[in-house]
Amino acid sequence: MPLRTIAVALIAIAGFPARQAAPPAPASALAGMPGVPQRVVSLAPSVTEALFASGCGDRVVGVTSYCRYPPATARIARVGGYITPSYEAIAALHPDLVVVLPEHEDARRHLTRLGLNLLELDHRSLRGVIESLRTLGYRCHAGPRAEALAAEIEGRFDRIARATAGRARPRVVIGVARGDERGFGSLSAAGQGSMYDDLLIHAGGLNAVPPGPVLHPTLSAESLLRLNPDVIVEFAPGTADPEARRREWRRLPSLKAVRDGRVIVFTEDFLPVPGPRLLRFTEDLARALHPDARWEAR
Amino acid sequence: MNSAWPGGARTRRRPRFLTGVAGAAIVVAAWASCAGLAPGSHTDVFWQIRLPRVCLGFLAGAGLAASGMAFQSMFRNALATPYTLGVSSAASLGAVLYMRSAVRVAVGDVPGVSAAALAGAGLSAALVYGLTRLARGFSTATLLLAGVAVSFSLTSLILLTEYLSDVTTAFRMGRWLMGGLDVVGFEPVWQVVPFVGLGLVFICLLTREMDLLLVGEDLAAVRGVSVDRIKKVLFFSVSMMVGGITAVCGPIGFVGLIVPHAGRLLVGPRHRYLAPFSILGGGAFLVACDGVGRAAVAPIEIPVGAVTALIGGPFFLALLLSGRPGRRFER
Repeated sequence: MPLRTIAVALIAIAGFPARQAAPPAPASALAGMPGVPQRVVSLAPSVTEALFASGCGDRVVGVTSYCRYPPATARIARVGGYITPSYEAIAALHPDLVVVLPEHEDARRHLTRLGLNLLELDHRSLRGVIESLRTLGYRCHAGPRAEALAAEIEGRFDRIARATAGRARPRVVIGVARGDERGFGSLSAAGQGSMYDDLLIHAGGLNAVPPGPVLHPTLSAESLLRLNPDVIVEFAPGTADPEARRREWRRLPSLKAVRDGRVIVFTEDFLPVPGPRLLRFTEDLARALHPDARWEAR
Repeated sequence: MNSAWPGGARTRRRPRFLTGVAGAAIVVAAWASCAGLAPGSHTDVFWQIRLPRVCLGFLAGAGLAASGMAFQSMFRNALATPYTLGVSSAASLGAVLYMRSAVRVAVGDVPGVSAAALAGAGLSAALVYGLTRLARGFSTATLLLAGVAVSFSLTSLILLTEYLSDVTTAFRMGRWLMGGLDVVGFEPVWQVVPFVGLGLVFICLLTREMDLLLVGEDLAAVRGVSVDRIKKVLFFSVSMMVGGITAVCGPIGFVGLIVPHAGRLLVGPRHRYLAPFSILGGGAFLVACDGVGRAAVAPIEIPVGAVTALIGGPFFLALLLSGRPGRRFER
């Protein structure tokens, strides 16, 4: 069951120390106001990131054991796993808001039965992540900061669109994980409709993986040769030696991307977490796909 | 077979031993109900989360152990488990298909995933029964082979469904397939009660017949047992219990395998004693495993199915190496 392994790996990887620290959330002037959530529990790493990024971090009292970013989460109580929270631990925190995702179907049922207020965000697309920032800002009375962040991210997307306008979109395979570390026998690729497909389209690329029923299909070396993408992007979160990964690809010299030296390895730890940092990463990906475009200085 | 049954003095001690097992079960249940309640927990945590969980664990453990005992006797096979005939695989397939689909419904208080699992279990029992009937009669060998074949086929469909799902859904499926008792409120407990209650009544009423089936179907028939009818009642009782339990708790392995074997070692193979031991011991074992899984790395909860397998695997290997289960099933 490679997908299960990959899922566990992706979720576990989400807990690695982060590369860049977000600015600490200031205490909201509205904290303590009736109707404003004061004790918030997050049930996903991406939700925790969004809560802190939108200025609600000072009210987070519970996070999952996979939530390691921002570093301030280290002092917050843990409420169990991402899909498998401990309802006892959540209830003991007496939260006035629990923030969940669509995949928390079972948790939603149990938490509703416990009489807790729930807020559901959708982190299955980039647009959903941006909207979730605004939703959290509105709900936690941190609107200006959340709106500023959402606008900044949308500004990045506009810059990418301007820089890549009229340019040929390269056909890209994004490898999100390897089922077999020894080679290319089972590369889990971002299929069409997945979050990373969305990321790729915003970054000015085209997904070389054809539409299909599987969101993250497993590609063999033979499948890769058949697809023959212009660019190969491999996510290897936490990998210390990305050059070694790139060298491995030279074992498939018939691939156009390998011949052209267009194998790009990203090692950022946050790549599996569909939070605000992934939105900002879109520009890095776009610059890597279109290195000769006219990019504004950062 | 009779030579394997301990004699009079030990027989007289068995009721007292069973009373001790009942006492131990109560102690385990009390420990699991109160141990490690998070500081600051109010009474709702106990009544809404902890107590329903312990009750569900006891019912599920009792039902699975009694089911395993019944199948081991009916098939005269030490390796038989409640899941041998594919009911659990079918329930699991129903659950993963529901998770994969976009349909979201609930049947009253029963969540959609449980309803789908129960439907799968019912269809599988009907399919295995139909296949066995097609082969004429109700032969134990045909039933076993049909069940195993159905189970393998359904397991491959589960893997395929999991593969065709996105990462988070596949993760949810994987988690469901490990089994779990994390419920809130007593509704899930009441949903399991009729399945387990009715199944246990049938099994407890058929202890003499199971003794005779264990010796041999021919001998049982000579002693007046309507073999086919008893096998059908056992088949449907176990399928009903396993379907109901799996629908709510997911597949929880090893309870139905090791508890009856432990019972055979401790109270002997006579079902008059083995059945109550399996019910009490199975319930206490599952509640204890869940307590361990909950407390080991709190607040992260290890799925109870993983804990039973962790404890059950070495235990079963020890049994195999001791050779005792084989001797108990010798005629």
